[in-house]
Amino acid sequence: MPVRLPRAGVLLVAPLVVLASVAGAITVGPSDLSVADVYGVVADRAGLGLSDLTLLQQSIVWDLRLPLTLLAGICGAGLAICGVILQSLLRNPLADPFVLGISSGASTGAVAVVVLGVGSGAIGLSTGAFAGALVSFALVLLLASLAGGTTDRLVLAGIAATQLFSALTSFIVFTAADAEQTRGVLFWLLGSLSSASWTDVLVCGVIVLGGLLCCVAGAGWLDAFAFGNDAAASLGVDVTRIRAVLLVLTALMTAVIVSTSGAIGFVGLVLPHFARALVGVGHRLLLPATALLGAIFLIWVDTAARTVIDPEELPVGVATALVGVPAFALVLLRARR
Amino acid sequence: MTALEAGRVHWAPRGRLVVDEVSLQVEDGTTVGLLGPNGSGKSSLIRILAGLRPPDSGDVLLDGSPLAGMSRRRLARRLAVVEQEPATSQDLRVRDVVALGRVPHRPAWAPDSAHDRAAVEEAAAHAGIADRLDQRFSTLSGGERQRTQIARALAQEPEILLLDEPTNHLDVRHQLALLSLVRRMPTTCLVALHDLNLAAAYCDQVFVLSEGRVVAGGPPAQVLTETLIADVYGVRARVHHDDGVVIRFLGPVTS
Repeated sequence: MPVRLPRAGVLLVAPLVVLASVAGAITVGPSDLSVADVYGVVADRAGLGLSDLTLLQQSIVWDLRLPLTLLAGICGAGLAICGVILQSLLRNPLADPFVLGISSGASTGAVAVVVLGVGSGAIGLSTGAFAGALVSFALVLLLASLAGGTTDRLVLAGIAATQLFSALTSFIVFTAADAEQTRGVLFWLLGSLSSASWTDVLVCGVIVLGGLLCCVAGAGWLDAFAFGNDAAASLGVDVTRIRAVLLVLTALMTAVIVSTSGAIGFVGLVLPHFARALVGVGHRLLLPATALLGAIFLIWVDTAARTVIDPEELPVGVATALVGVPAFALVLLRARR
Repeated sequence: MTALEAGRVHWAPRGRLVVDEVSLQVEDGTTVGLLGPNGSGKSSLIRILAGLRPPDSGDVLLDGSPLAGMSRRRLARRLAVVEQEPATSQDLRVRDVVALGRVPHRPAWAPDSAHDRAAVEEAAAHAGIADRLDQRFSTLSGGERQRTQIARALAQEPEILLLDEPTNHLDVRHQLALLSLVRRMPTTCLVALHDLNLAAAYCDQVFVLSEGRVVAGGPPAQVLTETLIADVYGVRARVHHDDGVVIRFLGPVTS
């Protein structure tokens, strides 16, 4: 009989893997660094000792690699959580912010802010992305419900929204932007973590952690949606309110992630299915487990994307799509039965 | 004691009349059948009685107090619903499904308590699926799925249980087994049914709906007459009263 790790055990092991991933991923790349060096720099900044690295190397760790790796982890966690919420609330194993066009809507909103100069800074960008995410989300849900509200209709509506908002993003960039901004269009359409800063880490970190805590606090309600809205209502859930709160929360998390890293696909789609296989369908364990798996996944995919075709850096969205599409196909085939 | 009461309940979504001034009482501890042809408003009435759809006018009273003023959570601890063929996209185990019945009994963030787990086991044993708890819900037969949903409803520890055509798509053996399970349950039950013979055999009282109205109510032996069956279903029938009520259908009414 195979020895099974107790389900909660995943939640004990996974954070250690996340820590090890952060430390390990930072050492990968040009300029030789070890995990001990990384620890040295972090300890130095925290005032717990001095690093013996050169200032350039310290800067590489502290100003480039550490925010990059942390942001990868946070975005991976956030997108994966969004995937769980959408899959549970919409009762659709294929739901995810990218597939449903929410990420594309957020991209369009953020690009509009950058190019048209409405608002400014990280907050302005996130606000634009949030508005875009809400608009695309509302459009998709409306279109899907008018078309009959089945699983495939929702995905089709999502494809339509993705195409529409990607085209709008390109349109805005090509008509209104200068050459520098035009190069940035790939960033929004494909997703990239290369511009990560500590501000991004902080803003994303706060929103994603807050989102995770809110969702775990409502884990029982999310469970109750397994058999649909009426079934949830008959189990005592205030369906209209909980749905609205959770969908807006998803849009907010997606928006903040997109405004710092563009539209990264397939993390939210694929990771929840792996997490369910590990810890089951109860959201109290599933949400944190998915977040941790998402973090580990995106940290390593981004690391691979940075190094595989050295010295060029592949946008992380390209890498997640290369990994994600086969996994998407797998989920699709399983959903058929 | 009246467990559940509808008083002149009226529901006409988008101007289409579905439930027309329905009044009925379900007495404590009884099993009551809700009969009527397809489209007569049985499912809609069950949703209204369960508080899932607010009626346009009229009241639903649970143990004398109106549903309208009651919080969803309080209601879910007192009244449970088993819908027609509920489906899920998730890969739940039977235990997960039955445990959903405990959702209204604990805060949304809390893990299940020893009492929760005991209630799940007990409900599963009562519904006869105790040996199925670790199986996937998707691998169960139709009858076992209905039993799982009934176990989930029992885990809610309700005073009253509403079932919407629980015998749909079950073979005759499973229909009988399911209804005798319903009959044995300690809670008051209101069951929407298609089969008049099953209703006659297992219900203390029946109400007959036709085009959204209650056209008859009372003990099955009094209600299920040849005239009523001809009027409501448009079917000629012979009703025998030898060993309980047995209805034999002869054919459509020819005018």
